[in-house]
Amino acid sequence: MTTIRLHPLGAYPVRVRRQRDRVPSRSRRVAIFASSVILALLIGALLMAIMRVNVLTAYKALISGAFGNSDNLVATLLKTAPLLLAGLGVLVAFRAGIYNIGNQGQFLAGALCSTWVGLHIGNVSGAFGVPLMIVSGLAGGALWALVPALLRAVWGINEIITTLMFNYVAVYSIDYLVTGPMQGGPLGVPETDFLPPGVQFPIIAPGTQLHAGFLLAIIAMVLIYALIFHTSIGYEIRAVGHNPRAAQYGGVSLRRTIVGVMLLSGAFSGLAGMGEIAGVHHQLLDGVDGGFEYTPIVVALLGALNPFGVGIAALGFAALSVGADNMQTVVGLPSSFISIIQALIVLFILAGEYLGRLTIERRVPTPQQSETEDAETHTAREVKP
Amino acid sequence: MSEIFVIGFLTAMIATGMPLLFGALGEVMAERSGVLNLALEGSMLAGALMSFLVAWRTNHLWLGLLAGMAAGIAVALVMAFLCISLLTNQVVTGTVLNILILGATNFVYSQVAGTALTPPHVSVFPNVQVPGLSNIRFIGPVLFQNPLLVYTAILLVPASGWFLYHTHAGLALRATGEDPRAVASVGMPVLRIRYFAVLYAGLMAGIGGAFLVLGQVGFYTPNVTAGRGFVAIAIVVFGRWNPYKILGATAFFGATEALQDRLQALGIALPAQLLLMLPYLLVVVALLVSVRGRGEVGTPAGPRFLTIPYEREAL
Repeated sequence: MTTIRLHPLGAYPVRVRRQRDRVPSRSRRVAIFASSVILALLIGALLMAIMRVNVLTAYKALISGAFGNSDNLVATLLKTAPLLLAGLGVLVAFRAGIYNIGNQGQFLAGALCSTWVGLHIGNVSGAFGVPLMIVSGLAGGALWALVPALLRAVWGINEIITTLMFNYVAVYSIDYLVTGPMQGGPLGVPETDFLPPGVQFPIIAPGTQLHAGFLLAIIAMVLIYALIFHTSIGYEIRAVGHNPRAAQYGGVSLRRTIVGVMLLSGAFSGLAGMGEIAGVHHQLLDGVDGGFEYTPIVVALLGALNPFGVGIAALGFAALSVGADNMQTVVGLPSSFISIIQALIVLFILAGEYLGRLTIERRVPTPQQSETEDAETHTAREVKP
Repeated sequence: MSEIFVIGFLTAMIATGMPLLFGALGEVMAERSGVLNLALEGSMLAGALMSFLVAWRTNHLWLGLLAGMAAGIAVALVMAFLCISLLTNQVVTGTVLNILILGATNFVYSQVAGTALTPPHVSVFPNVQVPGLSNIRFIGPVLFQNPLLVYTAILLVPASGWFLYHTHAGLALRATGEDPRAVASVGMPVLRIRYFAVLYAGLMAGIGGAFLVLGQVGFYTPNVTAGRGFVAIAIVVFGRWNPYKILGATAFFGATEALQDRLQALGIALPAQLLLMLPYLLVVVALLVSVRGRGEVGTPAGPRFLTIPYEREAL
């Protein structure tokens, strides 16, 4: 516990204390979140001002690009689904303290696996084809996470590096496949043939492109919530994330948990990749992961590793990136501008968590008081990233 | 195999290994102090961009190098402030910072140079011949006809080793990663040591990034580092946090990258993508090989307090 003495205020000394394990209250977390977003947008405004871009016009274009009409809204929702699914994948692993940042590779593996199945299954009805695609997407992503999972669980090899390296392997593999063995369509175009209609996702809002993958993402969000907070498996995942030794002492198998969360995490990223194939592109092509490389990690963190939080964060970031396209056409700011803002928001929240634990006290507590306070805060510990 | 081929291969190995060596020699200090500085990739990328932009605009390579160093340190400073002073999670902070730098460098490059019809170029660091030694057959062209930065990096290896194992400051640094409380108990400033270590890693990564652009190709492409910072972090693990072993590990990875361009010259027809992914696959293989016995689950090897923030006792 850090105690910083400030100048006395009035008759009473004031102390700013940072409590080690105190979780900031809900209202404080909301305040941190809001001020982080505002601060990031202000920095964005400053950047625009430096570049002589009209700030109001730009932000207006951002908002109208994301929500302005039904087409824009559909585009935002379309982008929300993969961000949410992959974000849930990141969430599951991070909750267990396993830093699977290979979501890009697992996304691509899910896309590849489902494309291959879709191209080879022939003409099937949607009732058979769609579940098949879902399973193959899950399997592809999980398979891509399998090697890093085993390396970590059996030999303790850092999963951060291995999952990252597997991202590059996936990118080059896809590039090889769509320009070589799986190349279809016009010569020289890096893409495969189109999938048969039976394995494409049905449209859920007639007249738009909104496909069943959106519903899938919502269902996944509720399922992950139930898994994390209402099952013993979820309890074990959180326990391992909080204190692996204690969890192990309590009878949780670390190996099984690590492999389990990695596979589950990979599976959901794979599902996101599959959704882009079955719902949007209907073929595998170079750059299918565009916009989903690192954003799911940021989305998961922004959602405070809570499934519903991740849902809201996915919607917000989808809106930002769809709106950014419009902003690019209106005021000429490149889309990388918005990725700066997205990362800044999360950095500010990370920093804000420290501030959220500060308490200002009007008087110096007696030693006894501070001891009981310590005891309380220690029992009230909760898993936090 | 002709002598010229071997000389060309070894020279390319040294050139491609340099950014990795700089990065790894910096990262080893950060990790020895207990900070897993994942922002190394960000430092390297920022260093590459800033060194290029300054060198391009001023026509001064050394000024570019200075800018690269400053950019690397700037990224490391954010990393250090967040995870040393504000006790944030090192992995999360590093990852988010890398995402930020990727976006920021893409943005800056597109604004400054993206509209040019032909991508801007700069000349690269000239080779410096070591008098007397550069004419030795075979060894001369490989070892003694390199840019000045190459000699610097190679001399940094024994210097880092000497610092870590033969000085009091090095002992304090290693102790900070093994048990920061013990360091604090003898009155040494844990936080300051960690700050210095992380900033040094940023400085080295900045130089590495600058060498990538100003030492080899002379132009910048978005995300030019392509994960080299992460490879450097893997090299630290592969080299068991020891500068001498790190040099060996770097030579290995430099060789795989140098091999890429030369396999085709040897008449071995492999898909280009397979060669491109080879270094990344080898990182995973190398990490597996470097495991001694079955590691304890949940505690990867390395300094014992790696990734654990240090919190001062109450004042």
